[in-house]
Amino acid sequence: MLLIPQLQLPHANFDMRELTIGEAIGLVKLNPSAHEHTISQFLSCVLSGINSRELTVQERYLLVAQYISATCVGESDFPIGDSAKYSDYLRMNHSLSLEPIALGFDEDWQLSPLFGWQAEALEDVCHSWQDWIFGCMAAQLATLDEFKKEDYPTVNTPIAFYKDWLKERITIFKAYPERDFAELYHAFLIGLEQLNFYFELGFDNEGLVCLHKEGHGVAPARFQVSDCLTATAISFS
Amino acid sequence: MRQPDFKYPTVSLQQQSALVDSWVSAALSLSGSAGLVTLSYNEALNMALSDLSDIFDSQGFKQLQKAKEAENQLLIAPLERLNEVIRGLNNLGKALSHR
Repeated sequence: MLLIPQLQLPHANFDMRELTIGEAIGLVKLNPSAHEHTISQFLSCVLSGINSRELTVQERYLLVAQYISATCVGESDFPIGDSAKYSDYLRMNHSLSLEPIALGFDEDWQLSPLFGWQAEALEDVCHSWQDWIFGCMAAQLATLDEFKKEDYPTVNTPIAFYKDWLKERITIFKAYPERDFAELYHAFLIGLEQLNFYFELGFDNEGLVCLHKEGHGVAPARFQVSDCLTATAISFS
Repeated sequence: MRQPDFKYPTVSLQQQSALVDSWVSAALSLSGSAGLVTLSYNEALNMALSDLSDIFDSQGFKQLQKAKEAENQLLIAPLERLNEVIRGLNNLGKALSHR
């Protein structure tokens, strides 16, 4: 069994263990496009005592990437595509903060990090990169008053209820007057940059991606659970 | 937003079934009465992925495979001889019937 080095972050340490054959069989049968659901299943296998749905999406991607790095054959700074490497996407100089960021406006808009349980629900609701932008705005933006409400969704909110809540909120954002929406969207993007710990996130039709340090012009990366599985199986096929 | 149309290679259905097949075959080859290592199938499924590579790449496993093949040959040899006797008896029967 491979010993995977402990991932030591300023706020927590994470211990992962290697996947078993049975777990790998179960994971490879999941829908390969359901990235967030697959990551949750994967992390429930390799992490003990931690509910990965409560982690931010960046922490989850970091755990998947660290697992690939520890189990891949070759350099731990594994290649991505033809010319990029894992370290080209990693931004460890920006440490995690779970506190919402105040965006201002009359409504006192707050922007929170995106968590695994929210990304899972978004994956069921969103089908294009535009959907994902509206979806993330719906999930991450809330006014100060909304935050204080008792019924504001949490990780314990039933998933079906949360998906309906998101859909309703996306409809509201889509109905915003164009100028108001443009201002809020601009503030949302600036806020996102402050929440870009470990990876800078972008969107594509299948969800969230991690952007290269050079940004535009270089392909973004997605750390997929299938990358944790395929290398091991090749020698038996 | 940024490069929204970038496509990622995902595991195809064919790759999925090839992966499952390779793991199941590996687990089966380690387990049960036919296996080289005396594990139950469940125990084999609980092995770490890298253990599979380590076992299959090891000299010890290759020697076990050779020993198992030799053992199978020993079991097959009397059966083959018996087959030859039956074939001989058949030929003899045919030869006698032509008389």
